[in-house]
Parts: sequence; C-alpha cells; structure tokens
Amino acid sequence: MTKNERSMTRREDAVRSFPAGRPEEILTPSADIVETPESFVLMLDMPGVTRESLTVSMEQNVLKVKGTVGELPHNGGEMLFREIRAAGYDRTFNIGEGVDRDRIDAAYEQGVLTVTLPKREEMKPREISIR
Amino acid sequence: MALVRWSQQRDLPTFPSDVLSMQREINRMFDSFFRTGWIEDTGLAPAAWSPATDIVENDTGYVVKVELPGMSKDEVKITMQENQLSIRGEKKHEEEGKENGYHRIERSYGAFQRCFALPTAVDASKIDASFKDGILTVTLPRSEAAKPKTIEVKAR
Repeated sequence: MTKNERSMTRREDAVRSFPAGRPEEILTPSADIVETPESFVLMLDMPGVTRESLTVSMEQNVLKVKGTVGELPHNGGEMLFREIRAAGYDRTFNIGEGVDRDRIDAAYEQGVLTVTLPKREEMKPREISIR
Repeated sequence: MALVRWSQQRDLPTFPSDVLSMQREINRMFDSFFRTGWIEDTGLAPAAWSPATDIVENDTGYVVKVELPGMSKDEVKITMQENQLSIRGEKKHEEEGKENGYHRIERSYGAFQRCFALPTAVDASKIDASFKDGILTVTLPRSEAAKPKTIEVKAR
C-alpha cells in the first residue's frame, strides 16, 4: 500500500466509525444576564430550537427553560465534520423575591431566548427628593 | 501534528468566561482530532470564538451548518475561493448589556472565522445560504466535473 492509500483508508475508517445522524446531548444553554432599571433580562443561546418545544415555566422560585432542537436536514448524507452537539437545552434559574412573577415575558428570535423578568415596583430604583 | 488555531484569548485568559470558552476549544480540538480524522484548515486571523459547525456530504454536494445564535445575515460573510470555504463575522454585544452592564456573560462575542477545504470542487454560482433560528445553513452543490461518473467497461 502506498502512503497515500494508507491515509485514505484511515480517513474512511474515521468517517465510518463516527456516529451519523442527529446529536443526543441535552446541553445547558449559555446565558447572559443584564439588569436594567425596570427588569432583569436573561438571554440564552438556544440555536435551532423549535418554537413548539420551547417552554418557559415558573414554579415557586425556580424559572425553567427547555427546548428541543429540530431535525437538522442532513438528507441522509455522511458527516465529514461534526461539532454541533445539542439535541436540546435545559436550564433552571433561581429567581429572587424582587421579580413580578405575573409579568414575565419570553421571546425567541434568531436562536436566542430572551426572558424579561420585570422588577416589583418597590424594587425599582427611586430618586428621593430632598426637601 | 495538527495545526492549532491561534487565539489571542487562549493565550491571555481572564477568569471565568474565557476559561469556559477555552475548555470548549480544547474539547473541540480533541473531538475533531479523534472523531473526524478531518483537520480544519486554520486561518491566521485571530478569533475570539469559534462557532460549532457540522459538514455533511450528500449526493448533490455539501451542507455546512454553523451555530450562530443572535446573529443576522448582514453580520456574516461567506466566501468561496477554489475549494476553500470561509465563514466569518463579528458578534457585537447587545445594546441592553452595553447600557446597563451585565451580571453574567457566558455567550460568545467578537470576531470569528472558520475555513474549510472541501474535498471536491463546488459550483460557486449555485451556493445557497440561509439563516433560521440562529443556524446558518450553506448548501454547496458539487461542480459537474466533480460528480461521480460511471464508466462502462466495454467487452472486446
């Protein structure tokens, strides 16, 4: 076998041994947390998640976000390179007393889930006038 | 020995978000080395992060998928030179974060670049790219000359 042939065989083996089809891992999505005067804003990277599977729920002090990645249309081809690992995302956050639970809002756009947690009136920064 | 992408951030890590991205980068290196047998063609451009990419070869050509959450089509540039596919762009911080400050930053920001040498030539005029839910999909049909052909063996 020439050197070239050997390296080709090796590459073919590597391709074959490596799992085809969709990924299976449930990952913790990366999150940014920003505080504005009115609210806390959570931004979570959840690319490829379907809207139907996406849930944001609040139970007692725990905010839970969950979503499943839709089928990546690989058309039955062969994977040459594989780094995308998420089949879904799951994460919980402890939410403090300062958040108004009835007005929590969530939006999914460009693969990013944005959860806005408005502060209760008494938690908002206030300027105190000086007599 | 495999070439390793040079990253300014890896050389100058600051705790803690860079450690996380460093760990991801190392995992990625191991993954691509042991699992794919395919070495990425690294550019020399410094990159702050490296979005996860899948490449699939099918009957018609190649499908490249890149996770780019929060990015729009105007922020990404795709170029094809010979069989070298390059995807680059820059993710900017959200306005809200810039104005109010962050409590936590885990998501990746800054410039990125990924380059791949495709095994066969593609038809550059028929490359299609689309964005959906933060995933960029680039479809590259194989050029006519590179399509597999069956050669009939004549009996004499």
